[in-house]
Amino acid sequence: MSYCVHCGVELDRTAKTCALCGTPVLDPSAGPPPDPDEADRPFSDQLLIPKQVMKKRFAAAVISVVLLIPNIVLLFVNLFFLNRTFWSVYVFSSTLLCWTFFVFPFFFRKAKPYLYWCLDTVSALLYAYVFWLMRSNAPRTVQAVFSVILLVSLAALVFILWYRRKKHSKTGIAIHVFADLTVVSLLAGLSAAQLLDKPDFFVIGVICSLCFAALFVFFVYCHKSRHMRAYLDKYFNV
Amino acid sequence: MSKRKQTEKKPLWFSLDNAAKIFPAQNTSTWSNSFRVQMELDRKINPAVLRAALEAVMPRFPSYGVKIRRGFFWFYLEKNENPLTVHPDIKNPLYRVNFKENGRYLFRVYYHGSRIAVDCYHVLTDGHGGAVFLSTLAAEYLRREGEKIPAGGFSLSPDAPPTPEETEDSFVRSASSEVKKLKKDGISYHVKADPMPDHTVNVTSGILSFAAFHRLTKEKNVTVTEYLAALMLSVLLERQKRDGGRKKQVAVQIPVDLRRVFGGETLRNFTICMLVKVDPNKGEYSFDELLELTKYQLRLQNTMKEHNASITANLQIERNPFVRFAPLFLKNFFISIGFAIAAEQTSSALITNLGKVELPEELARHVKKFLFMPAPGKLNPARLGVATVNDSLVITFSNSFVQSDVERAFFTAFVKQGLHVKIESNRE
Repeated sequence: MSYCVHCGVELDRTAKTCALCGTPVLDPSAGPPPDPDEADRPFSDQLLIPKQVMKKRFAAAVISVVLLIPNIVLLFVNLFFLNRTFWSVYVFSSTLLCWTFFVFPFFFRKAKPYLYWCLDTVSALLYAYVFWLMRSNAPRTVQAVFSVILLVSLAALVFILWYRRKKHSKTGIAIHVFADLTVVSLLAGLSAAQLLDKPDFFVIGVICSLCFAALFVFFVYCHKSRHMRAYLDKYFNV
Repeated sequence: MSKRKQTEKKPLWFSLDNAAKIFPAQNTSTWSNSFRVQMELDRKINPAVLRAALEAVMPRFPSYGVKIRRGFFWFYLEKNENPLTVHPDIKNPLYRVNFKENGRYLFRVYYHGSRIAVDCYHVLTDGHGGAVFLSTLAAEYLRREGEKIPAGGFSLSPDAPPTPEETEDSFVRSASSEVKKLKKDGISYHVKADPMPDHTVNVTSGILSFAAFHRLTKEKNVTVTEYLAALMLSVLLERQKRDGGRKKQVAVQIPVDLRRVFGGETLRNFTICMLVKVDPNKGEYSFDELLELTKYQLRLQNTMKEHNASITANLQIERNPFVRFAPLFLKNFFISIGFAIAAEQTSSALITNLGKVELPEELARHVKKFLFMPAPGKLNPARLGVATVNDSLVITFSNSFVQSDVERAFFTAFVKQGLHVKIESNRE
């Protein structure tokens, strides 16, 4: 019969530590205790982790097939019936973009952020390229879209590099995201205004940037102020 | 006997009772609303005999030998004729229930050393029903080991036919109030800690002498549940004070067995939850103040009229034509979303007291301990089940967080009162 010197409770005779405080059970007069029979322990040692009901990869494969079917049907309709323009390419490129963003990551057991980043950037650029090919009368618009995609992609890469360095709090992540968005929206507005000769885009970029900057300041304040954290915890349970 | 044969021949199906209707929608790939009842006997369990005993008692519990099926509007339970199995016990009880595993049965029977345990999905029954099932199973096991055990108390006779009252939805029978009272509870304090990996749980049982504990509660003129709830409030208030920041209400949820209020013999769900709340912004509370507060709050709520108003309101939701005729996938969607957002937000802890498990003398002398354990919470480390058999009162925490400081504060409070506490746990 052993008792925990800190908690004062009796411990099970097979216990190696106190379950309440973790204090090890030691008997200085005896040698190391023999390993007790499994059946003597109050609970079994066998851990059973149940199988996942629906495997992610299987689900991703099913979704891929489901997405493919309407594309094939529409291609067929486009080629043989409504064939004045090659409109099905829009559907196909949109589906491909969605698939790359939302379905492709489920094919991997472990997250591969750099691969996702690379493919997402390429597919977004390809999507814009398809529009440029189909509507070649607006090359400057496509250039502006390309520059925005590359800016967002760069910001995402910076975020991934920062995020993988160490574990971050939710507020820390929000601060970084809004800081990124502040810079990206300002630069995107600027580049769009330059390439399209429309200063309105710069104004829109500045407005967006200011909104994100306000959110950035709010989250920094939440992060630093103990009172604000307590207030949010009390009224919004965050 | 002919009556029993008739019952067996009939293709059986049951609609889910009023309380059970939301449980399937709450089911996720990592969490299910279930509970464990476990009995420690005076001998090593033989799995072959246990399986035979299980097969013998199953006809007595027609509402447990079922599988769950999806209807267009509601889930329903259908008779299950797959073979029954018993499993060696595991370290992580109450892992999620999958409707297609375990021969599609919604309960799992385990053995370990001299212990028999049943992990039961809450759709089938509540703690009382689980305790009746386990007691009947243990009695049948001992009979097959050569003991003469009569039926009585929680232990039913496996040869007697099941009665219609045992399989009824008692909520429907009892709801008759003209007042429909839906409870509105604010957001409560939750202890912040590191979660355990999915499908794992820390179980810590404290075993006390019921006589010694009962003396303590008598001195304070409160019941066992009231004392435990007040102690839990005190532990959580202290913990919140230590955490710092703004103070939220601390609330303990206490399910109450409605059979004791409305009568009835149902072996399906028939419980409703009460909430005891304390607002720390009103000032510091001594333990005696908490005892008084808990006592009066519980006694005000624990009346037939209050419960009737609550269950009538719950039943009215089920009977609302918009709810009734909404397709199941829509109901599931809204229930799961609601549960994901609001689950446990209103309570800081749960204490479910099964009370004294009444067993015939011939069975009770073979029983060393009876353990009752609710499913671990998503937000609360303090979810505890209490059960008493003979002189052994077992308080079991099921905690899905790594830290054990709530358990420690709780059990050491008994030690400070001079009570002897023995701790058993699945922690390393």
